[in-house]
Amino acid sequence: MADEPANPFKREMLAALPRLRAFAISLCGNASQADDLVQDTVLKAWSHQDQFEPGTNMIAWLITILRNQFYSLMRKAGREVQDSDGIFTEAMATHPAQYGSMDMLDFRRALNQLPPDQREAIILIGASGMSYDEAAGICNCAVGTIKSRVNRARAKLHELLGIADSNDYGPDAVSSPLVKRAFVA
Amino acid sequence: MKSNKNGKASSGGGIKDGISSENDAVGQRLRDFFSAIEDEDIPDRFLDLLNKLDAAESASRQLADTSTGRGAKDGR
Repeated sequence: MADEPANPFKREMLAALPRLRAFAISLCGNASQADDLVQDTVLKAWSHQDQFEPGTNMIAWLITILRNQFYSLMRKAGREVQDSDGIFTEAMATHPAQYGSMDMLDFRRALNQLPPDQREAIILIGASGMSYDEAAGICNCAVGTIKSRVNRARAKLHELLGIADSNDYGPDAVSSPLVKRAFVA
Repeated sequence: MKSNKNGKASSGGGIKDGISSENDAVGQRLRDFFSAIEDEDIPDRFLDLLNKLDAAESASRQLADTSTGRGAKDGR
């Protein structure tokens, strides 16, 4: 509907917005706080666009900015942003169509019960299309750390959602040995 | 875009993303959840914001070009 923007930076930013916003909502579990984070991120990214290297992954860059904002807000607030019925209700009211099914609601509630570091890891790897390398860069930690966070997040979600333990934990050629090592060490 | 699939810290060999394996119920629900949000329309506030930022930038660039005597720039 809007005509094609002439500014390539703007065009790329527009294209990245849906994913950035989905990341924000998944990470902080609160749609209105998430949209504030997205807005701050857009402003910050725009004013620092000279720091963006064209041809690199715009979404990874934006997510890095958003994530830093999120954690600095959390530190300022001196508390972790956790699931609460208030947040949960607000999300339902804001997005009745999308989050209306019990599946979605259950999932959202379970996701919000994860520690933020595990939550972001599983969102980045499992939904945002980031590679382990990119996720490690975004979270400023080792690839192995991302892998073990993802595995812990996955195990916890299985437990919270009461998903029957069939062969859901398909052996992961790389990360399961890593996790085993981490637990043994 | 996702150029670097192989973690440099890992011992090479194709990394198999455990989460995206077909029979991972958690992974599937995560993707459903995420894409439901992704599929929503972008709120107008962000479109307005980007338009304003873009307009302000073009205006200041134009001003700079005029004052340095570099004259008309490309496009609008």
